[in-house]
Amino acid sequence: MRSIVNLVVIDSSDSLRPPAFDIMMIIISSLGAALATIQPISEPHVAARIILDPTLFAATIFLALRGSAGIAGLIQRGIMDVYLSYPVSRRSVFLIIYISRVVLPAGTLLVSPLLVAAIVLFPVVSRDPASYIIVFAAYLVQAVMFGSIFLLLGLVARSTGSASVASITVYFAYNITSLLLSIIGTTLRSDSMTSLADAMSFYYMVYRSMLGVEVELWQFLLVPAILLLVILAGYIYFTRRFEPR
Amino acid sequence: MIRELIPRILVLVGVAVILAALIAEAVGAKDHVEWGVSIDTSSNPGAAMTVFAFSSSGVVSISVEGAKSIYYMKLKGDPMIALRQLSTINISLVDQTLVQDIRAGVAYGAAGLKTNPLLLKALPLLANIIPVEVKTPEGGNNSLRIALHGGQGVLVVVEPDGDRVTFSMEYRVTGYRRLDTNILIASGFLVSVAGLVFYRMLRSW
Repeated sequence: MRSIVNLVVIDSSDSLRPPAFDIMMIIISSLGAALATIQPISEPHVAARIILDPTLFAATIFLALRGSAGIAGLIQRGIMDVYLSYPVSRRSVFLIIYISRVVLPAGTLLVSPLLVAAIVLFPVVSRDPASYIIVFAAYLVQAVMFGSIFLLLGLVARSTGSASVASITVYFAYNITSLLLSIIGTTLRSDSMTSLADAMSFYYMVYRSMLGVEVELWQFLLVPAILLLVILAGYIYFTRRFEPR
Repeated sequence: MIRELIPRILVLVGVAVILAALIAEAVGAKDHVEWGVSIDTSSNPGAAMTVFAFSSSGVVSISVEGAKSIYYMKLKGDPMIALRQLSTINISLVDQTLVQDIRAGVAYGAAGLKTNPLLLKALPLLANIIPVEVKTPEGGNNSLRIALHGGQGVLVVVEPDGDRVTFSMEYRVTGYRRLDTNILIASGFLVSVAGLVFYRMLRSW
Protein backbone atom coordinates (compact mmCIF):
# COMPACT_ATOMS: atom_id res chain seq x y z
CA MET A 1 0.00 0.00 0.00
CA ARG A 2 2.87 2.35 0.87
CA SER A 3 4.46 1.69 -2.55
CA ILE A 4 1.17 2.52 -4.27
CA VAL A 5 0.85 5.80 -2.36
CA ASN A 6 4.48 6.66 -3.16
CA LEU A 7 3.92 6.04 -6.87
CA VAL A 8 0.72 8.13 -6.85
CA VAL A 9 2.67 10.98 -5.22
CA ILE A 10 5.55 10.66 -7.73
CA ASP A 11 3.34 10.49 -10.81
CA SER A 12 0.96 13.22 -9.59
CA SER A 13 3.96 15.49 -9.02
CA ASP A 14 4.64 15.17 -12.72
CA SER A 15 1.05 15.47 -13.98
CA LEU A 16 0.19 18.44 -11.71
CA ARG A 17 3.56 20.17 -11.86
CA PRO A 18 3.72 23.97 -11.99
CA PRO A 19 3.70 26.32 -13.76
CA ALA A 20 1.33 24.97 -16.49
CA PHE A 21 -1.15 23.47 -14.03
CA ASP A 22 -1.13 26.56 -11.82
CA ILE A 23 -1.57 28.89 -14.78
CA MET A 24 -4.56 26.90 -15.98
CA MET A 25 -6.01 26.77 -12.46
CA ILE A 26 -5.72 30.53 -11.87
CA ILE A 27 -7.25 31.27 -15.29
CA ILE A 28 -10.24 28.97 -14.86
CA SER A 29 -10.73 30.04 -11.23
CA SER A 30 -10.72 33.69 -12.29
CA LEU A 31 -13.09 32.90 -15.13
CA GLY A 32 -15.37 31.13 -12.64
CA ALA A 33 -15.15 34.16 -10.40
CA ALA A 34 -16.09 36.48 -13.26
CA LEU A 35 -19.03 34.31 -14.28
CA ALA A 36 -20.23 34.10 -10.68
CA THR A 37 -20.18 37.85 -10.15
CA ILE A 38 -21.48 39.38 -13.37
CA GLN A 39 -24.84 37.60 -13.24
CA PRO A 40 -27.40 37.24 -10.45
CA ILE A 41 -27.27 33.45 -10.05
CA SER A 42 -30.02 32.46 -7.63
CA GLU A 43 -29.73 28.68 -7.40
CA PRO A 44 -26.74 26.46 -6.55
CA HIS A 45 -27.17 23.93 -9.39
CA VAL A 46 -27.47 26.76 -11.95
CA ALA A 47 -24.31 28.36 -10.52
CA ALA A 48 -22.41 25.07 -10.79
CA ARG A 49 -23.47 24.54 -14.40
CA ILE A 50 -22.62 28.08 -15.53
CA ILE A 51 -19.16 27.86 -13.96
CA LEU A 52 -18.35 24.30 -15.04
CA ASP A 53 -19.38 24.57 -18.70
CA PRO A 54 -16.22 26.45 -19.80
CA THR A 55 -14.13 24.68 -17.14
CA LEU A 56 -14.93 21.26 -18.60
CA PHE A 57 -13.43 22.35 -21.93
CA ALA A 58 -10.22 23.57 -20.26
CA ALA A 59 -9.98 20.46 -18.06
CA THR A 60 -10.43 18.17 -21.06
CA ILE A 61 -7.67 19.90 -23.04
CA PHE A 62 -5.42 19.60 -19.98
CA LEU A 63 -6.21 15.86 -19.74
CA ALA A 64 -5.35 15.42 -23.41
CA LEU A 65 -1.97 17.12 -22.95
CA ARG A 66 -0.89 16.03 -19.47
CA GLY A 67 -2.82 12.77 -19.26
CA SER A 68 -2.54 11.26 -22.70
CA ALA A 69 0.66 12.91 -23.97
CA GLY A 70 2.08 12.70 -20.43
CA ILE A 71 1.66 8.93 -20.23
CA ALA A 72 3.11 8.52 -23.74
CA GLY A 73 6.08 10.62 -22.55
CA LEU A 74 6.57 8.27 -19.59
CA ILE A 75 6.76 5.34 -22.00
CA GLN A 76 9.10 7.19 -24.42
CA ARG A 77 11.50 8.24 -21.66
CA GLY A 78 11.55 4.78 -20.09
CA ILE A 79 9.96 5.96 -16.83
CA MET A 80 7.15 3.42 -17.22
CA ASP A 81 9.84 0.72 -16.93
CA VAL A 82 10.79 2.18 -13.57
CA TYR A 83 7.13 2.27 -12.45
CA LEU A 84 6.70 -1.37 -13.46
CA SER A 85 9.85 -2.34 -11.55
CA TYR A 86 8.19 -1.28 -8.28
CA PRO A 87 6.98 -4.20 -6.15
CA VAL A 88 3.35 -3.59 -7.12
CA SER A 89 1.10 -5.40 -9.56
CA ARG A 90 0.29 -4.06 -13.04
CA ARG A 91 -3.28 -3.69 -11.82
CA SER A 92 -2.02 -1.27 -9.16
CA VAL A 93 0.17 0.66 -11.63
CA PHE A 94 -2.90 1.10 -13.86
CA LEU A 95 -4.86 2.36 -10.86
CA ILE A 96 -2.02 4.73 -9.97
CA ILE A 97 -1.70 6.30 -13.43
CA TYR A 98 -5.50 6.45 -13.67
CA ILE A 99 -5.69 8.43 -10.43
CA SER A 100 -2.75 10.72 -11.13
CA ARG A 101 -3.35 11.30 -14.85
CA VAL A 102 -7.17 11.41 -14.97
CA VAL A 103 -9.10 11.63 -11.69
CA LEU A 104 -6.84 13.98 -9.72
CA PRO A 105 -6.24 16.61 -12.48
CA ALA A 106 -9.91 16.55 -13.56
CA GLY A 107 -11.17 16.83 -9.98
CA THR A 108 -8.73 19.60 -9.03
CA LEU A 109 -9.39 21.70 -12.14
CA LEU A 110 -13.16 21.39 -11.80
CA VAL A 111 -13.22 22.04 -8.07
CA SER A 112 -11.10 25.21 -8.02
CA PRO A 113 -13.60 27.57 -9.78
CA LEU A 114 -16.39 25.98 -7.74
CA LEU A 115 -14.57 26.89 -4.52
CA VAL A 116 -14.28 30.50 -5.69
CA ALA A 117 -17.96 30.62 -6.63
CA ALA A 118 -18.96 28.97 -3.33
CA ILE A 119 -17.21 31.80 -1.45
CA VAL A 120 -18.60 34.58 -3.67
CA LEU A 121 -22.14 33.15 -3.73
CA PHE A 122 -22.07 31.73 -0.21
CA PRO A 123 -25.63 32.90 0.64
CA VAL A 124 -26.96 31.09 -2.48
CA VAL A 125 -24.80 27.95 -2.40
CA SER A 126 -25.35 27.37 1.33
CA ARG A 127 -29.11 27.03 0.68
CA ASP A 128 -28.57 23.69 -1.13
CA PRO A 129 -24.94 22.56 -1.21
CA ALA A 130 -25.98 19.02 -2.21
CA SER A 131 -27.26 20.11 -5.63
CA TYR A 132 -24.02 22.09 -6.14
CA ILE A 133 -22.00 18.95 -5.44
CA ILE A 134 -24.23 16.73 -7.61
CA VAL A 135 -23.67 18.97 -10.66
CA PHE A 136 -19.91 18.92 -9.92
CA ALA A 137 -20.00 15.10 -9.77
CA ALA A 138 -21.84 14.97 -13.11
CA TYR A 139 -19.20 17.15 -14.79
CA LEU A 140 -16.47 15.08 -13.16
CA VAL A 141 -17.94 11.89 -14.67
CA GLN A 142 -17.88 13.52 -18.12
CA ALA A 143 -14.30 14.78 -17.70
CA VAL A 144 -13.13 11.40 -16.37
CA MET A 145 -14.76 9.71 -19.38
CA PHE A 146 -12.76 11.91 -21.75
CA GLY A 147 -9.63 11.43 -19.62
CA SER A 148 -10.04 7.63 -19.70
CA ILE A 149 -10.25 7.63 -23.50
CA PHE A 150 -7.17 9.88 -23.68
CA LEU A 151 -5.24 7.62 -21.29
CA LEU A 152 -5.98 4.59 -23.44
CA LEU A 153 -4.89 6.51 -26.55
CA GLY A 154 -1.66 7.56 -24.81
CA LEU A 155 -0.88 3.96 -23.83
CA VAL A 156 -1.48 2.73 -27.36
CA ALA A 157 0.15 5.66 -29.24
CA ARG A 158 3.41 5.72 -27.18
CA SER A 159 4.33 9.05 -28.77
CA THR A 160 3.56 12.38 -27.10
CA GLY A 161 2.68 14.10 -30.38
CA SER A 162 0.43 11.30 -31.64
CA ALA A 163 -1.23 10.91 -28.25
CA SER A 164 -2.15 14.58 -27.91
CA VAL A 165 -3.33 14.91 -31.53
CA ALA A 166 -5.39 11.69 -31.29
CA SER A 167 -6.92 12.80 -27.97
CA ILE A 168 -7.91 16.26 -29.18
CA THR A 169 -9.29 14.74 -32.40
CA VAL A 170 -11.43 12.27 -30.43
CA TYR A 171 -12.71 15.08 -28.20
CA PHE A 172 -13.51 17.23 -31.25
CA ALA A 173 -15.21 14.29 -33.01
CA TYR A 174 -17.31 13.48 -29.93
CA ASN A 175 -18.59 17.05 -29.64
CA ILE A 176 -19.19 17.46 -33.37
CA THR A 177 -21.08 14.15 -33.46
CA SER A 178 -23.31 15.39 -30.65
CA LEU A 179 -23.86 18.70 -32.45
CA LEU A 180 -24.61 17.00 -35.78
CA LEU A 181 -27.07 14.60 -34.16
CA SER A 182 -28.80 17.57 -32.58
CA ILE A 183 -28.97 19.55 -35.83
CA ILE A 184 -30.03 16.58 -37.97
CA GLY A 185 -32.52 15.47 -35.31
CA THR A 186 -34.07 18.95 -35.20
CA THR A 187 -34.16 19.20 -39.00
CA LEU A 188 -35.67 15.74 -39.48
CA ARG A 189 -37.84 16.17 -36.36
CA SER A 190 -36.34 12.99 -34.95
CA ASP A 191 -36.64 12.87 -31.16
CA SER A 192 -34.40 9.81 -30.89
CA MET A 193 -31.49 11.65 -32.56
CA THR A 194 -31.84 14.75 -30.40
CA SER A 195 -32.21 12.55 -27.30
CA LEU A 196 -28.98 10.75 -28.22
CA ALA A 197 -27.21 14.09 -28.77
CA ASP A 198 -28.39 15.26 -25.34
CA ALA A 199 -27.43 11.95 -23.70
CA MET A 200 -23.81 12.37 -24.85
CA SER A 201 -23.52 15.07 -22.16
CA PHE A 202 -24.06 13.36 -18.81
CA TYR A 203 -23.97 16.66 -16.91
CA TYR A 204 -26.75 18.03 -19.11
CA MET A 205 -28.95 15.04 -18.29
CA VAL A 206 -28.33 15.48 -14.57
CA TYR A 207 -28.97 19.23 -14.80
CA ARG A 208 -32.17 18.76 -16.79
CA SER A 209 -33.47 16.23 -14.28
CA MET A 210 -32.77 18.77 -11.51
CA LEU A 211 -34.91 21.28 -13.43
CA GLY A 212 -37.73 18.73 -13.40
CA VAL A 213 -37.44 17.82 -17.10
CA GLU A 214 -38.09 14.15 -17.76
CA VAL A 215 -34.92 12.22 -18.67
CA GLU A 216 -35.01 8.60 -19.78
CA LEU A 217 -32.91 6.01 -17.93
CA TRP A 218 -30.76 5.15 -20.99
CA GLN A 219 -29.86 8.82 -21.34
CA PHE A 220 -28.46 8.78 -17.81
CA LEU A 221 -26.56 5.57 -18.42
CA LEU A 222 -24.91 6.30 -21.79
CA VAL A 223 -21.85 8.24 -20.58
CA PRO A 224 -21.24 6.07 -17.45
CA ALA A 225 -21.48 2.98 -19.71
CA ILE A 226 -18.88 4.44 -22.13
CA LEU A 227 -16.71 5.30 -19.11
CA LEU A 228 -16.87 1.74 -17.74
CA LEU A 229 -16.13 0.22 -21.16
CA VAL A 230 -13.10 2.47 -21.69
CA ILE A 231 -11.74 1.77 -18.18
CA LEU A 232 -12.18 -1.95 -18.81
CA ALA A 233 -10.46 -1.72 -22.22
CA GLY A 234 -7.58 0.28 -20.70
CA TYR A 235 -7.26 -2.14 -17.79
CA ILE A 236 -7.22 -5.22 -20.04
CA TYR A 237 -4.75 -3.62 -22.45
CA PHE A 238 -2.40 -2.46 -19.69
CA THR A 239 -2.45 -5.66 -17.65
CA ARG A 240 -2.35 -8.18 -20.53
CA ARG A 241 -0.98 -6.62 -23.71
CA PHE A 242 1.05 -3.54 -22.80
CA GLU A 243 4.82 -3.73 -23.15
CA PRO A 244 6.73 -0.65 -22.01
CA ARG A 245 9.43 -1.05 -24.71
CA MET B 1 5.42 18.68 -5.12
CA ILE B 2 2.03 16.97 -4.79
CA ARG B 3 1.90 17.71 -1.05
CA GLU B 4 2.11 21.39 -1.96
CA LEU B 5 -1.02 21.07 -4.09
CA ILE B 6 -3.42 22.18 -1.35
CA PRO B 7 -1.49 25.37 -0.48
CA ARG B 8 -1.17 26.12 -4.19
CA ILE B 9 -4.93 25.75 -4.65
CA LEU B 10 -5.61 27.94 -1.59
CA VAL B 11 -3.35 30.75 -2.84
CA LEU B 12 -4.87 30.68 -6.33
CA VAL B 13 -8.45 30.50 -5.03
CA GLY B 14 -7.74 33.46 -2.73
CA VAL B 15 -6.42 35.52 -5.65
CA ALA B 16 -9.47 34.56 -7.76
CA VAL B 17 -11.83 35.60 -4.94
CA ILE B 18 -10.16 39.05 -4.73
CA LEU B 19 -10.49 39.31 -8.50
CA ALA B 20 -14.18 38.35 -8.18
CA ALA B 21 -14.69 41.18 -5.69
CA LEU B 22 -13.14 43.68 -8.10
CA ILE B 23 -15.23 42.41 -11.03
CA ALA B 24 -18.37 42.54 -8.88
CA GLU B 25 -17.62 46.14 -7.98
CA ALA B 26 -16.98 47.12 -11.62
CA VAL B 27 -19.67 45.15 -13.49
CA GLY B 28 -21.91 43.57 -10.88
CA ALA B 29 -25.20 41.82 -11.48
CA LYS B 30 -28.45 43.72 -12.06
CA ASP B 31 -31.63 42.91 -10.17
CA HIS B 32 -34.11 44.51 -12.55
CA VAL B 33 -34.63 44.84 -16.30
CA GLU B 34 -37.34 46.41 -18.46
CA TRP B 35 -37.91 45.95 -22.17
CA GLY B 36 -40.58 46.58 -24.79
CA VAL B 37 -41.11 45.80 -28.46
CA SER B 38 -43.80 46.26 -31.05
CA ILE B 39 -44.39 43.54 -33.68
CA ASP B 40 -45.98 44.19 -37.05
CA THR B 41 -48.71 41.58 -37.46
CA SER B 42 -50.22 42.88 -40.71
CA SER B 43 -48.69 39.98 -42.64
CA ASN B 44 -48.34 37.46 -39.79
CA PRO B 45 -51.23 35.75 -38.04
CA GLY B 46 -49.52 35.85 -34.66
CA ALA B 47 -46.72 37.18 -32.47
CA ALA B 48 -44.71 35.61 -29.67
CA MET B 49 -42.53 36.74 -26.83
CA THR B 50 -40.23 34.63 -24.69
CA VAL B 51 -38.39 35.27 -21.45
CA PHE B 52 -35.85 32.72 -20.28
CA ALA B 53 -34.14 32.95 -16.90
CA PHE B 54 -30.90 31.16 -17.77
CA SER B 55 -29.00 31.93 -14.60
CA SER B 56 -31.22 33.97 -12.28
CA SER B 57 -34.61 33.38 -10.71
CA GLY B 58 -37.20 36.10 -10.75
CA VAL B 59 -40.68 37.35 -11.42
CA VAL B 60 -41.56 38.49 -14.92
CA SER B 61 -44.48 40.80 -15.71
CA ILE B 62 -45.50 40.90 -19.36
CA SER B 63 -48.06 43.34 -20.74
CA VAL B 64 -49.59 42.79 -24.16
CA GLU B 65 -51.46 45.39 -26.23
CA GLY B 66 -53.43 44.67 -29.39
CA ALA B 67 -54.27 41.04 -28.65
CA LYS B 68 -57.41 39.10 -29.46
CA SER B 69 -56.25 36.14 -27.42
CA ILE B 70 -53.13 35.23 -25.50
CA TYR B 71 -51.66 31.84 -24.75
CA TYR B 72 -48.68 31.18 -22.61
CA MET B 73 -46.68 28.28 -21.38
CA LYS B 74 -43.91 27.81 -18.89
CA LEU B 75 -40.86 26.00 -20.15
CA LYS B 76 -38.24 23.98 -18.35
CA GLY B 77 -34.73 23.68 -19.68
CA ASP B 78 -33.40 24.90 -22.98
CA PRO B 79 -35.67 27.34 -24.92
CA MET B 80 -34.54 25.51 -28.07
CA ILE B 81 -36.84 22.70 -26.92
CA ALA B 82 -39.80 25.08 -27.23
CA LEU B 83 -38.67 26.17 -30.68
CA ARG B 84 -38.38 22.51 -31.71
CA GLN B 85 -41.92 21.95 -30.42
CA LEU B 86 -43.21 24.98 -32.34
CA SER B 87 -41.63 23.80 -35.58
CA THR B 88 -43.13 20.35 -34.97
CA ILE B 89 -46.60 21.89 -35.21
CA ASN B 90 -45.67 24.06 -38.21
CA ILE B 91 -45.23 27.40 -36.49
CA SER B 92 -42.15 29.28 -37.69
CA LEU B 93 -40.63 32.52 -36.37
CA VAL B 94 -40.02 35.65 -38.46
CA ASP B 95 -38.48 39.06 -37.60
CA GLN B 96 -36.89 37.73 -34.44
CA THR B 97 -35.38 40.02 -31.82
CA LEU B 98 -33.38 38.35 -29.07
CA VAL B 99 -31.60 40.07 -26.20
CA GLN B 100 -29.32 38.23 -23.81
CA ASP B 101 -28.85 40.29 -20.67
CA ILE B 102 -26.12 38.38 -18.84
CA ARG B 103 -26.00 40.88 -15.95
CA ALA B 104 -29.66 40.17 -15.20
CA GLY B 105 -29.30 36.44 -15.97
CA VAL B 106 -32.19 36.53 -18.40
CA ALA B 107 -32.73 36.31 -22.15
CA TYR B 108 -35.81 37.72 -23.82
CA GLY B 109 -37.06 38.25 -27.30
CA ALA B 110 -40.04 38.53 -29.59
CA ALA B 111 -40.98 37.43 -33.09
CA GLY B 112 -43.78 37.31 -35.59
CA LEU B 113 -45.35 33.88 -36.16
CA LYS B 114 -45.90 32.42 -39.60
CA THR B 115 -48.52 29.73 -39.45
CA ASN B 116 -52.07 28.84 -40.23
CA PRO B 117 -54.31 31.19 -38.13
CA LEU B 118 -56.52 28.21 -37.25
CA LEU B 119 -53.52 26.55 -35.63
CA LEU B 120 -53.14 29.44 -33.19
CA LYS B 121 -56.80 29.07 -32.19
CA ALA B 122 -56.20 25.35 -31.71
CA LEU B 123 -53.19 25.78 -29.41
CA PRO B 124 -55.12 24.98 -26.20
CA LEU B 125 -56.12 21.65 -27.77
CA LEU B 126 -52.46 20.73 -28.23
CA ALA B 127 -51.84 20.56 -24.51
CA ASN B 128 -50.16 17.17 -24.88
CA ILE B 129 -47.47 18.85 -27.02
CA ILE B 130 -47.35 22.25 -25.35
CA PRO B 131 -49.27 22.94 -22.15
CA VAL B 132 -51.10 26.13 -22.94
CA GLU B 133 -53.21 28.34 -20.74
CA VAL B 134 -55.57 30.86 -22.28
CA LYS B 135 -55.80 34.40 -20.98
CA THR B 136 -58.91 36.18 -22.18
CA PRO B 137 -58.16 39.84 -22.82
CA GLU B 138 -60.09 42.46 -20.95
CA GLY B 139 -59.80 45.81 -22.69
CA GLY B 140 -56.67 46.67 -24.65
CA ASN B 141 -53.93 45.81 -22.15
CA ASN B 142 -53.42 42.35 -20.69
CA SER B 143 -50.75 41.41 -18.26
CA LEU B 144 -49.20 38.21 -17.01
CA ARG B 145 -47.09 37.80 -13.91
CA ILE B 146 -45.06 34.62 -13.72
CA ALA B 147 -42.38 33.42 -11.32
CA LEU B 148 -39.39 31.79 -13.03
CA HIS B 149 -36.69 29.62 -11.48
CA GLY B 150 -33.22 29.34 -12.99
CA GLY B 151 -33.44 27.34 -16.22
CA GLN B 152 -37.14 28.10 -16.70
CA GLY B 153 -38.76 30.31 -19.27
CA VAL B 154 -42.13 31.50 -20.50
CA LEU B 155 -43.41 31.67 -24.05
CA VAL B 156 -46.33 33.97 -24.79
CA VAL B 157 -48.21 33.49 -28.07
CA VAL B 158 -50.62 36.19 -29.20
CA GLU B 159 -53.37 36.21 -31.79
CA PRO B 160 -53.48 39.88 -32.87
CA ASP B 161 -56.52 42.13 -32.84
CA GLY B 162 -55.07 44.57 -35.40
CA ASP B 163 -51.86 45.31 -37.31
CA ARG B 164 -49.57 45.62 -34.29
CA VAL B 165 -48.93 43.78 -31.04
CA THR B 166 -46.91 45.56 -28.36
CA PHE B 167 -45.11 43.62 -25.63
CA SER B 168 -43.73 45.25 -22.47
CA MET B 169 -41.68 43.20 -20.05
CA GLU B 170 -40.37 43.80 -16.56
CA TYR B 171 -38.18 41.23 -14.83
CA ARG B 172 -37.19 41.38 -11.17
CA VAL B 173 -34.51 39.04 -9.85
CA THR B 174 -35.36 37.14 -6.66
CA GLY B 175 -33.26 34.98 -4.34
CA TYR B 176 -29.87 36.40 -5.37
CA ARG B 177 -27.35 37.40 -2.75
CA ARG B 178 -23.58 37.46 -2.74
CA LEU B 179 -21.04 38.32 -0.09
CA ASP B 180 -20.27 42.00 0.30
CA THR B 181 -17.24 43.26 -1.70
CA ASN B 182 -15.20 44.09 1.44
CA ILE B 183 -15.92 40.66 2.93
CA LEU B 184 -14.88 39.05 -0.36
CA ILE B 185 -11.56 40.91 -0.46
CA ALA B 186 -10.90 40.00 3.18
CA SER B 187 -11.84 36.33 2.56
CA GLY B 188 -9.62 36.15 -0.53
CA PHE B 189 -6.74 37.64 1.39
CA LEU B 190 -7.25 35.21 4.30
CA VAL B 191 -7.47 32.16 2.01
CA SER B 192 -4.25 33.19 0.21
CA VAL B 193 -2.43 33.82 3.50
CA ALA B 194 -3.67 30.46 4.83
CA GLY B 195 -2.22 28.83 1.70
CA LEU B 196 1.15 30.54 2.20
CA VAL B 197 1.28 29.61 5.90
CA PHE B 198 0.40 26.02 5.03
CA TYR B 199 3.15 26.02 2.39
CA ARG B 200 5.69 27.32 4.93
CA MET B 201 4.63 24.65 7.42
CA LEU B 202 5.06 21.91 4.81
CA ARG B 203 8.53 23.22 3.89
CA SER B 204 9.63 23.28 7.51
CA TRP B 205 8.55 19.65 8.15
